[in-house]
Amino acid sequence: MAEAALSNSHPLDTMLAVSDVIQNERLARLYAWVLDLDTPSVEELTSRSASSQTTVYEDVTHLVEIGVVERVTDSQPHRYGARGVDMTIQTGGETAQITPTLLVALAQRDSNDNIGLYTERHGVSGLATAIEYARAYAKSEMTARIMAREQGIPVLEAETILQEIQEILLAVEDEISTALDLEALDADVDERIDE
Amino acid sequence: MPAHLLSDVESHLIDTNLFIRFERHETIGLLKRTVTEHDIDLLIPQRVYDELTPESYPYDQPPIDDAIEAGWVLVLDEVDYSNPVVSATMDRFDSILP
Repeated sequence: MAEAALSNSHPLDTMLAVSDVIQNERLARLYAWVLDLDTPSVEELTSRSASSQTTVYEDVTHLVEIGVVERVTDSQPHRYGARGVDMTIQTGGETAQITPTLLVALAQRDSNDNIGLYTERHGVSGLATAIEYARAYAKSEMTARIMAREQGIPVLEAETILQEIQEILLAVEDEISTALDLEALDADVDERIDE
Repeated sequence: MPAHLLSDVESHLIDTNLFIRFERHETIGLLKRTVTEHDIDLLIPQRVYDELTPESYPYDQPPIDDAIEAGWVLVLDEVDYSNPVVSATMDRFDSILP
């Protein structure tokens, strides 16, 4: 079951379309640029892209249709903003989150060796799993050693991907902060020592 | 790196993440320059060294061996559990950890 992100289309259509973005790095990259730039126009996006303006326009239209991008102007030249992708996929007992972070990370497969290799070795699902670990890591609730043990990967690989994703999270998701409450941590440790 | 961020201690014990962070941002040179200019040694336990140098690793590895050879990173001897302070501390940890 896939719940539609923010569009009026049938959830199944949304699912097929979002899977398009996940598997198509050109679309993922476009989404990442829309997220990064301040409501860009098709022309501004084309200047970043290797594609023609027609292709960029078609791709942007596609992203609007699936609801991850929206047009924010009423007149030409139109400008586009990224919508928060928040899609949950559930099969049997397992769930997976599709978030802007996943799309931005996928968009960097070519330009970022660490993300590219990790995705090659562990697939998109492996990257999505790493993102969940990275959310906890960003809050100092997870370590590379724990992830390495649970996922059966070298500590070096876990630490590397956690750092890469953490930096994307900080850029993409406002709610994530790295503020560590040392006083609360100290109090916690003191409590356990006393027990 | 501003000097006031570093205390007068001569050596710092570091974990695996530090080298990885600098390597990813291609600023190992900055790290090296900072510690050597301030006569600082970076100390790593054997475990951290092992984590930084896994066998048959498909990615690039941080240049930890170069740093050790150049002398600004030192690998510590294994902790001696027959030392009573060590064994008492580790027992304490075992009682605290879930």
